[in-house]
Amino acid sequence: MNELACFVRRLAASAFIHHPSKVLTQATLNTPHCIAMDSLYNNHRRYHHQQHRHHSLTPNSCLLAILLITRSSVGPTLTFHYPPRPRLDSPQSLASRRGLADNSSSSSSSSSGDEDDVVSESSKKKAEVKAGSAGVDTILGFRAEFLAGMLAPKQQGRFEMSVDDVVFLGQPVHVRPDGTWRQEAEVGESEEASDATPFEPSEQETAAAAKTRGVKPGHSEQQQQQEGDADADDERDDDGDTVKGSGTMNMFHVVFVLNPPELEYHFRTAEMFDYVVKRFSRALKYEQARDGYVWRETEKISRLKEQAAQKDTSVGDLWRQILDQSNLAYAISCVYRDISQSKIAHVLLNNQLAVSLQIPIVSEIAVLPSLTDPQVPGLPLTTANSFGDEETEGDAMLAKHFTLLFLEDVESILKDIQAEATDSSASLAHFVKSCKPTHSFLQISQHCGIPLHEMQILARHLVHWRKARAIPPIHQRDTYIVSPNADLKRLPSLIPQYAKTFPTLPALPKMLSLLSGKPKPFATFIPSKDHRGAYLEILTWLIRYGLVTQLRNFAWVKIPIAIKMAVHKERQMQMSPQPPVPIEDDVDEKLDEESYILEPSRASGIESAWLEMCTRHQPQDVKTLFERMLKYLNGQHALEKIAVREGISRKEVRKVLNAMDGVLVYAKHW
Amino acid sequence: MIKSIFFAIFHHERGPQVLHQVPDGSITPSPPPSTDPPPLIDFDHISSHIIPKQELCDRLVTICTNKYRLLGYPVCLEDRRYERNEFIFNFAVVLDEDAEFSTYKSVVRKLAKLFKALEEQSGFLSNEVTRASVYALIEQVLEDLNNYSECMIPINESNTINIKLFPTYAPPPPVKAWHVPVSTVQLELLMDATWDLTMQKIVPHIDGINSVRRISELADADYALTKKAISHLLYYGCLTLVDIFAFSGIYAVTADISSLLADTQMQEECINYVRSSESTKIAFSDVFALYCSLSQGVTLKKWCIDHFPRLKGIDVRRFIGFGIVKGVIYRVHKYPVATNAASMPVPAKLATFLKGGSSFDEICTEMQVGEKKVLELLEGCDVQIVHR
Repeated sequence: MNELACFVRRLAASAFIHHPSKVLTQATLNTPHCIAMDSLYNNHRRYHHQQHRHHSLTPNSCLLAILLITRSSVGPTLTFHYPPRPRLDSPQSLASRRGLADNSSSSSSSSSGDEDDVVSESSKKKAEVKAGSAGVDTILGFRAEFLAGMLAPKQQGRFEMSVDDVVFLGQPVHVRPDGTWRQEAEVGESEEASDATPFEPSEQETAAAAKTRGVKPGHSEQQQQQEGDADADDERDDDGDTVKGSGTMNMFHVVFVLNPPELEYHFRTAEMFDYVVKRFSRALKYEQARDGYVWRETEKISRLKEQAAQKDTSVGDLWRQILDQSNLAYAISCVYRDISQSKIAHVLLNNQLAVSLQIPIVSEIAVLPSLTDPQVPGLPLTTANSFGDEETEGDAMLAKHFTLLFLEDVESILKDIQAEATDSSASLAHFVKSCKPTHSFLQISQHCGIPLHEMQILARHLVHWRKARAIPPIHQRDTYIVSPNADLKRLPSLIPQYAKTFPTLPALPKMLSLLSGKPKPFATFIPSKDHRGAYLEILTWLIRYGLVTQLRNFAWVKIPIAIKMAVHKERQMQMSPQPPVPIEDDVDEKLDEESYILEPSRASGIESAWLEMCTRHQPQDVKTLFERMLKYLNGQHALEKIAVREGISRKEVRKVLNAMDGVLVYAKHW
Repeated sequence: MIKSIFFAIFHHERGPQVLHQVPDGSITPSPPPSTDPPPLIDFDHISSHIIPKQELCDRLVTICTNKYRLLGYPVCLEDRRYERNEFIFNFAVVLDEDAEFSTYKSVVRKLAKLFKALEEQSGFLSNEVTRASVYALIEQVLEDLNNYSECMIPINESNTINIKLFPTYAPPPPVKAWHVPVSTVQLELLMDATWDLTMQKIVPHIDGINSVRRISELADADYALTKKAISHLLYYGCLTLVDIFAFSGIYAVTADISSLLADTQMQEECINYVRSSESTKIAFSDVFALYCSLSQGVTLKKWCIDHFPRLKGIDVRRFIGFGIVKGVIYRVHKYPVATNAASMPVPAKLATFLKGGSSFDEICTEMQVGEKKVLELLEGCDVQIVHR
């Protein structure tokens, strides 16, 4: 395998590469990170009462700026930074200081940030200082030269320092003693490579595709001009002779500047480092090693800055020029813009290496925040999360009885896929077209012929890239309620949107009010058989916007005193001939009160005896089914799952539950 | 846990120097023969951040190296009496990199300011004789803070190192007029005559029933001040917030209901809290089943009628209160939603509440009218009631 293919595979495991910068270009999956997201989510559940965990439910990158520091033999330089004038009081940081509870819809209003700093810069041109040789005189209150020195560490590895409340986070890349930038096959990344192996074929494809594209002419004109330089660099690298006079770079360092709230410091810096800093730096290192990309871009930016200093160009104009001409500067600006808005950043480094970066966001919660918890209105509320379910194959797969709820219009997702003609995009498009929120993966698979395993991988991909959410299939016989976490403040904008989508059907407030009464199966709201399709579409829409959630049934086994007494008597009778030997768990009997069996499928001796007594007078078929259903009767599993999972009909499940009604306690929640 | 404290200065010939460190050898290796473990960090790597240029002086600077986090507050004094006319020093604290460090920020700040004052007064640090006592001082600080979370160490007749570690709490949630504060501690016992006047006025009215607005009215205290006082109590965890209790309210279980079944301690707490008198005996299994029977779409009043025989010995108000505070149940709020709020034939103030974001609790508290009255005003309007 060629080197690029090797690398792409390795990087794909960590940063998810595609080519060029569209989301759905390859069907490979980034499994480890989906799990990371999931375990994150589990943490939230586990540490429900720990406040600092709570804050992390709300996406907040705390990103103020990105700086590119390079060091050559003449010393360290602040080569580029974005935005041109970073503000300490960025909108996100203000929001987080105000207390997150009031920061109601940071997930929904993520587009409200600075869409385009350059444009806004130009509007206040009058106030602008002329660009000096360093571009801007001070950044975040520091002189550029000072920042460069402070952020050019001698050490390898993670760099983290803070000055007052501002954190500088990076991963400096040093030239190796032999003058190269990376080892042929770097050790320490092998584990990521092995993580990626299940998806090897498709990744190789992409790698090959990337390779051909990179070599093929088809870059912008400006890029072609540079081709000569790049080739020359390559040759020198091959000779192992990279000493190119006094100007040669010996280190570069992309520094992310953050201002995390005090209590979220560790969490925010860790997620930024793991998901963005490390991956972006690694990709740059690869391109630098391949053809001297970073240094070439550095020289280009320095040249532009020098010219600007001579011509007295304004900062706004200079930054526009730099973004226009430097691929690296443009990439940095994209990463800043998207990551600071908690979006996914897609960049195409060196017109060659596509990298996608995102800090995973919490996509649903199981625990309803109390009045004193930070509120996250609009986040879907459900305990039906498909990850880590016993029937999934490890954590890598979505449960086969789940399905996808698309968070965007299918048309726009298909358009994204079609923008990329790769081998895998055809099957991805086929899958997206076949996927219905009312059918489980298993059913869809049987229908459209995509193997279940492949389908689960595709689904995982779409979930990871925020195109879809995994849900139990929507069913008219299930019950739905207005989600207690619905963001009703969004109604003024959702009402017209809904009206446009469903012009002839009951208005949004009417639908929500229908779902507000005593919970009833959704079918009862459907006026006629002909309306079924449309009403299920409405329901899908309501769930997509987090307005509605499924109300599911949970049950526990409660042993009445009479059963306990009966068991007790029977045991005494059996024992009476012998001297009274204490039964193993006699102490737990507590004959004067009822008992809940917390884990009926792992019942203790006495609990088993009680359960046996409960079913003794039931017909054999009820007895057998009840035994199979026991593992669901611990309050953790929705009873709605039983029929699908066990392949028993809903009717039969109901029959058994009715027969055992005397020992069951039900609760309804999400 | 502080791993090390050290005192470094800029030496006019030798550059950044560590003069004192506890434990010995934790920053720079002790001269041989020494049995000290190797230093925690390589001082040369970070010396330029400990003894930095002017720009970083008088600011809190932290730097991570070798899995440790160094917190320092470099100080630069300019005076003719110094070599090169300036004296730079730093008292730095070393912690594990992943340890919570916000509480230690004030420690380094305080040490820096105190020693800066001492140096300005008497040249305490630049004088080699007085400087020798720094070792004993930082040793004491490290010991006391690690063992007692506070220290009070006299330096001379007029100066003392007084430090106490305070935990950092999250900012309190926003307090609304219709929230009901419930005390988690006995506020009357905590309070003394030196407390804030508003606080003294409102505390007797915090009974888990009155809303914030009602408390300010009953206490004849300014509403804004009442809110502020309640925020303070929330910040220190003396209060929690619940919804207004009403028999017309609707309650339903949350996904946390199963935690009640798994936690025997909470069960005991529950029984003791919800029974109507101390002599009453009620079974937890019944109380749990009652919680489970709460449902969307059923008012508490209707529920009480339906479950009347099983409510013997149970104080319904406390039953609901306990469930809300523990998060095992939630109040289903009612929201009037008008498709077109602007064109409603209702008072202008009411119309602003019909966009969907305001619950009846909010509307009634803000307009100071009852729910019935609001419903009357809305009669005949194209308004839907959404339960959430």
